Amino acid sequence: MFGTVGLHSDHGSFTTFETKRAAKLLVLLGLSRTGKMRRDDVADLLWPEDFIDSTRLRLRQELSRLRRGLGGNDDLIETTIDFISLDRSLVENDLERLSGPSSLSTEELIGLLTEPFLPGWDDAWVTAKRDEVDQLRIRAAISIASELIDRDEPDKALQVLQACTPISPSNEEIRDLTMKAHNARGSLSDALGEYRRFKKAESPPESETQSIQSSTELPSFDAFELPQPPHPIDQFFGRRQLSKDLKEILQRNSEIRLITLVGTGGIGKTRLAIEALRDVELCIGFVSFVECPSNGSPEIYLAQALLRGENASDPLKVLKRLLQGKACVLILDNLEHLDEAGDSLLPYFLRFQICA
Amino acid sequence: MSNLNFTKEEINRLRLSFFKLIPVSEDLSKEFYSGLFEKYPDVRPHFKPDMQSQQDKLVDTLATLLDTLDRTDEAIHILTSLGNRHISYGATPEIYAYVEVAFLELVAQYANQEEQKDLMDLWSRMMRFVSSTMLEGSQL
Repeated sequence: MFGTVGLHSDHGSFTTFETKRAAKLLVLLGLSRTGKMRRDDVADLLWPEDFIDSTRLRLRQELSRLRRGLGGNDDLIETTIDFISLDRSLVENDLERLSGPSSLSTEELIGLLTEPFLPGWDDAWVTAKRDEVDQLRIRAAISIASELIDRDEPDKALQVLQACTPISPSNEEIRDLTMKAHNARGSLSDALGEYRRFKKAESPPESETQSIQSSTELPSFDAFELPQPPHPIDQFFGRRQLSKDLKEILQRNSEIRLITLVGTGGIGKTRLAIEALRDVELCIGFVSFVECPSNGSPEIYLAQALLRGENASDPLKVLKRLLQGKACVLILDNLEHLDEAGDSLLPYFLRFQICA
Repeated sequence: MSNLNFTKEEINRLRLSFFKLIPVSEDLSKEFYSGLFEKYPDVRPHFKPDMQSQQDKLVDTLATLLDTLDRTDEAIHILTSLGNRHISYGATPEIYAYVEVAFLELVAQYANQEEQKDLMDLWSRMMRFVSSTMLEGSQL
């Protein structure tokens, strides 16, 4: 599953499948603990957008394609009316190989560490797996590297650790082992270098923050207050669950950049946003676009609104610097007033990462 | 010419000791220089106002030195040329003597308590080697 999808067996390697879905079917079965899955569940994962009824036939077709792709190994797959199974007593997946890493050679492990996991697959069930894969990778790297150091093979240990560093640049265990390996190779200078590299990566250079402050003559971010949402005077009711859900989404998924609340005017979108963000330990800003001039740039309007009249020649730049690297939720109210001009805001959030 | 006379095992212990000091090396180096400047204010102008890179350099040099400790010729070469450069920093035999003691005290302070006694003997021999070789270098 790393780099390419395939089945490697005594009969040879099978890595080409007629369709991507046939490959996905193999991966789904290979990832499941028992190897046995309900047809309906498989169909739901392969065609999440479609109705089950319409996917039964297509699933049968993909099954035949997968069997053809597996050549002489097609007997590994058995089907019944409701179930599809892959004989997992005979098939080991890459993640299992990573969990019991002592049987891996250094080269194999480095392959598993550096090859991307199911590259280009963006199905929800694949992306949900990526974190777990990285955790497995880090654990495997740590365990094998420690073994290699104990066996007095620091060069190999270093290869493993360096392959793992991009996955987890700020893992202290990886750093400590890297330093240990350098030391075992007889280079305290390299061990020291690794320590400094790590430290530098952890704390961004102070001079940069200082120059931001001095060049803009604005208070530091912590002292800088964004405009806050209005305080509702009446009671909130009827949407507690929704507000709770929204809060959870925000707190659990730090990678989310934009959540859009859509609904008829007056239905309570703004209030919902305000309630969901109540007691959330994040920096919050509020801007209403009602007064955004239709011919002006919404980015500059936003920047000016957030800076609240702070005198800055290039508000966009100042805002960007101020918000950079800081987790922050901006409530952008009445965005519908922007029509198409609002489109230009979206890439702005994605780029500058200022909207959670 | 100074003689080091460290066994391989002793060198390894010194290296391990330094390895353990890496996380506190920056503090140690900082404290070393502030102690030096307090005692000998006259040498302060020989250094840049910002001591950060100088502090790093001290630790770097120690690491390099320990890396080459089993190749005595190389270590001596490093130290003699270092001693030569230190003439322009205002280093005198008196300061060398002070540095030797002050540095040892700092290592003792920062090193792991349990293994200290044994280690301090090694560090002390190491520092004697460093200062005598550097002094030789400064008289070239």
